[in-house]
Amino acid sequence: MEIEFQRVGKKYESGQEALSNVNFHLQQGEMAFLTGHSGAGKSTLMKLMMMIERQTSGQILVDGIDLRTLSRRAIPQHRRRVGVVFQNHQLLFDRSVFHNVALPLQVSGADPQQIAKRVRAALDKVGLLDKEKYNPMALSGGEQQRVGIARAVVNKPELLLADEPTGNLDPKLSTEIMNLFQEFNRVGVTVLVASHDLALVARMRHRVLTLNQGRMVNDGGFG
Amino acid sequence: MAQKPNQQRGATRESIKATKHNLQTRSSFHLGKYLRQHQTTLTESFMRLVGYPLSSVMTVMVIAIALSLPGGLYVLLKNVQSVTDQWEQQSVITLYLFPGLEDTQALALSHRVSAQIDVASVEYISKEEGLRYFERSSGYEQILSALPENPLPIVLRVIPKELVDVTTLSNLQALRDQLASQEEVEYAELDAQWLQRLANILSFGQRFAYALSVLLVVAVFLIVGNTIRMAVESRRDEVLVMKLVGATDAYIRRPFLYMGFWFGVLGGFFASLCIFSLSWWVSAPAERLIDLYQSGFQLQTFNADEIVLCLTISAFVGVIGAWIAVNRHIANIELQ
Repeated sequence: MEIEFQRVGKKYESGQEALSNVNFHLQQGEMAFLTGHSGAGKSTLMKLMMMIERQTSGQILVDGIDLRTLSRRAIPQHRRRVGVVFQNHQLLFDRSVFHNVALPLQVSGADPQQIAKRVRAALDKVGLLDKEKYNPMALSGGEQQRVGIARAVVNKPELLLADEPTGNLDPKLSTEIMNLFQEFNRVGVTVLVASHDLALVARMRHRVLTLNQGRMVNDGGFG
Repeated sequence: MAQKPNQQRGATRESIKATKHNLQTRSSFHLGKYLRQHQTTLTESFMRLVGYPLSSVMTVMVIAIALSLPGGLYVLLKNVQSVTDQWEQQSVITLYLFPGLEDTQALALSHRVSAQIDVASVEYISKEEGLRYFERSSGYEQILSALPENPLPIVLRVIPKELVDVTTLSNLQALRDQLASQEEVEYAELDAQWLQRLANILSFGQRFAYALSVLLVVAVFLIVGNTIRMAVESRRDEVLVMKLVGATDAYIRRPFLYMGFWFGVLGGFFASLCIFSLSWWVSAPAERLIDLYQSGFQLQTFNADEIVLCLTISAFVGVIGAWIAVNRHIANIELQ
């Protein structure tokens, strides 16, 4: 998936200006990091890509299509093409790991055999195949995060967004998770990871976008 | 950035695959898939009710009680109706002729009326007979004898062929009106007042039952709506995650609609059960009472059609109630 932000601004109803005049272009199959101190607008930028929020100025092009032209009914279709990973995992504790990961497939109406196959493939990729019957509550923080990643990629998304995916993890686990993202990127998924862990970001040697008070202050380099 | 060209090629291949995959599994509509989803949701929503037995049972019972009231009233009315339909009575239409009328004219009318096909017989009561009858029964002999002349008119007592009951009352009223329109007749009276009263009481009862039914159906709407609202609220996280991974509103709504469906169907089922038990409980005294009147009456409860109707209405009310609640509350749950 190819993403282009053109002079994008987002002003909340409270008057707070979360983003202003943001420009960048994420190529199909590219991997980039998004950094900045908390409140710089990283989450807002990701919400705009997910159509959780709408920008108040400028335009966002996804594969050349202006997101503003999509109707309300088209939003679910758009979200199925995007996998998201959050810091606070967003897992459901009333069902097993398997069923958490299966959710995006169930929602898009895949048949049960397909679901089982793909869920196991995704869990295998994050190294949790033996935990499919567990309740996510019984897993460690790092494992929960990996379940979240499996859920984000199970639907073979074209864009993977991760908002502070290593926020609560120790350096070793953080690196593992970043490596996972890199693997997905290697098979063609466009990846954007928001993180304030600058040391880790620098080690990964990818393009770095930096936000400061809603403005894009750095684009390129390795952080 | 260095590995980009390579990556780009891989990416293009992958994106073509992804697009194909989109076309195959996402954009096309399969009836089989759709039905399977519905079937899954149907069973899942039932299992969810079973998973919270106490609150589910309470909700279902409240709905059952609310529905069994109008249902029970309906059965009661149905029985009263069938009892009264069997109560027949020989009725009489009394014709009071104009005072100045000659006996010959009155006799002619009497023959004419008795020739009508809906009339069984006509009894002719002359002024004198009337006076004698009156003296005997009223105890006003003194006063009557003091009058200069007989004030009573000639009276014809017409016995219609048809026995009167609630259903034939209107036919007899028509016959009475026809006889009243004869020029010799001053006033015609149909002696079926008690039946008229019964008919009125029945139609009053029917209206009362209708009004009560409407109120209680509205109550069921509210009960289902409130239960579904709480269900949506308790599954807030799930709704959020589903929206995040691209669930359509219809998909999110579906389990709650089925939940409403189950509440309705189960409520209707237990309401029918309530009515059956109630009928059984009152059947012994009711039959003894009916035996006293030696009628061939049989106590009735819900028949198959009525059970199906009851379940259909309750399922419908459940789904609509859920629909209203879900639409209101799912819109309130937005990702942020």
